[in-house]
Amino acid sequence: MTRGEVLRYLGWQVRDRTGPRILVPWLITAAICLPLHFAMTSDGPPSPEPLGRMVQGLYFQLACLAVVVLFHGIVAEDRTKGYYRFYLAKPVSPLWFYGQSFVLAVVGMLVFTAGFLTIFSLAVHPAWHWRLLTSGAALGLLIGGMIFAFSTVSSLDWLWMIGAVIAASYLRARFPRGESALGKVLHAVLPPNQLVDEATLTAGEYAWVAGWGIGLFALGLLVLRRRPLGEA
Amino acid sequence: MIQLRDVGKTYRTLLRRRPVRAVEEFSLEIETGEIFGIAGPNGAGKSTLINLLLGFLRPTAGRVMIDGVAPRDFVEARGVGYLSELVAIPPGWSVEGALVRYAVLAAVPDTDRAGRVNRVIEQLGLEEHRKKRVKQLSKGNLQRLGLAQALLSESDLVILDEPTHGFDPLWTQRFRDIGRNLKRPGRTVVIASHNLDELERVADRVGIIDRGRLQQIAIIGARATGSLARYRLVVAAPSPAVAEAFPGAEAAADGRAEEYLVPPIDLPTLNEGLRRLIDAGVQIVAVVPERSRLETAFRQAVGADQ
Repeated sequence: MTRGEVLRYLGWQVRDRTGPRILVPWLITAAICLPLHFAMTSDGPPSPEPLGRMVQGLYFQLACLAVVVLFHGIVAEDRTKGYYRFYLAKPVSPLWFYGQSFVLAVVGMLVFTAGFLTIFSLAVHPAWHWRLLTSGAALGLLIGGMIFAFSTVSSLDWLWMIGAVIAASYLRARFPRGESALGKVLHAVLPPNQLVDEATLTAGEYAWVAGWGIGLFALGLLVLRRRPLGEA
Repeated sequence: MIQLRDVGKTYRTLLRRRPVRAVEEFSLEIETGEIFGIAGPNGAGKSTLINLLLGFLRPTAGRVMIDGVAPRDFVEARGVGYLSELVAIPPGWSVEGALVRYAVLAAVPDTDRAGRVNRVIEQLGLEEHRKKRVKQLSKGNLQRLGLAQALLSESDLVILDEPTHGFDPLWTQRFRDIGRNLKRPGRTVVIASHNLDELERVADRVGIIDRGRLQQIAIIGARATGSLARYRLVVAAPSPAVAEAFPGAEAAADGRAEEYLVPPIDLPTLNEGLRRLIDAGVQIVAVVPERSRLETAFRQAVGADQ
């Protein structure tokens, strides 16, 4: 029953969470691509290898922005502003309501990636690197999963995510996997954020990233189940 | 039926050294079909109690049950017509759009949705505002929109927290009709309000809470024959029979000579005294409660007269 009603609300969630938010990284993509377009017109097209590096580098930076724009406040905004009071007084499960919102945001990352490739290809040079879609999905699942989990307990979800990523990166660099037992343990328990800027993930790496993302999403749902939204 | 058994709610935060007990040893039963009022001074625990009823908070002691299940399970299965004290609706939504969204979430059937939205818009006088953005609404109109979304679902449980907050006197009066019309078999209505007059006109019983505890339950209406109240008695001409009929009655210091203040008495004593006055040939002009029975009970319960 509650699942059905939340599914009927899907169109509005697309409008609230994905629609206007995705425009921001697209506009920034266009703003960056415009001077590249003029440079390309005067200097001629670059060779494929630097073009590939340029696309990947630019994509990763903008995808990091997009993932924060799409996911931040996914639960926390409703809690801090009190919107949840009317949503969740209806026959609505918070798990379905916010779970659906998360899935939409992951799909939003794929839509952002497709839009990025379109804008870049039209403005600069055709560069249909479809593997970037897997990178977008990996970012959405892992980084989005982190923001989702933090969002169930804090309004500064994106800041906590950045802190967690910096801490994981630091520990991974400080204790390399091959040099100590602690390094191996840390490699196993830290979120694999170093993998999300890879355009070509192996199936195993992708499963590792996806598993972490789904695990963080499940953790967020568990917190929603155990800790009512009215609790401070 | 709503049951609260020895319910407690203590807020603990990392920064606060001492825990705050918002609700303590609170036991209450609210019958199906009843309109139950909750009155109490600021910080008495009214909003915490309502959050517990909606499952937005978990009790730290005791148990809350609605129709035999935990509040969150009840709400997720059947929904509640709920108005919060502070109406929070995204400011970019239109009035009509917000009601349509809430109707979808409230599982209002597609075929009935437009009709029901139109009905609450008309009932709450929002016709001229239906295309406006929420951010363009005045406080009173926003409160009416909040009330409209609570009435949309026609739920068996309606919980209204300060429903007339921000209303002008006209809409405060109209709310009394809306509140009274909410009463129907099978529906339980809980109204928390500072406005004792409003509760007295709408509720069947009123629970008075203070410092997180249920202090007293006042029964409103004809059943309230046992409660004591002070009355202002106006007669056509001053008469010594008044003091005989109502021992302790004094001429009102702030009124005319034919106005008397009668000390707290119950309804049978009042009627007996009036009968004696009429038998003595005294013409009675008016008998007005100096304070409403609920106000008297409230002041006693929260110690305001001490």
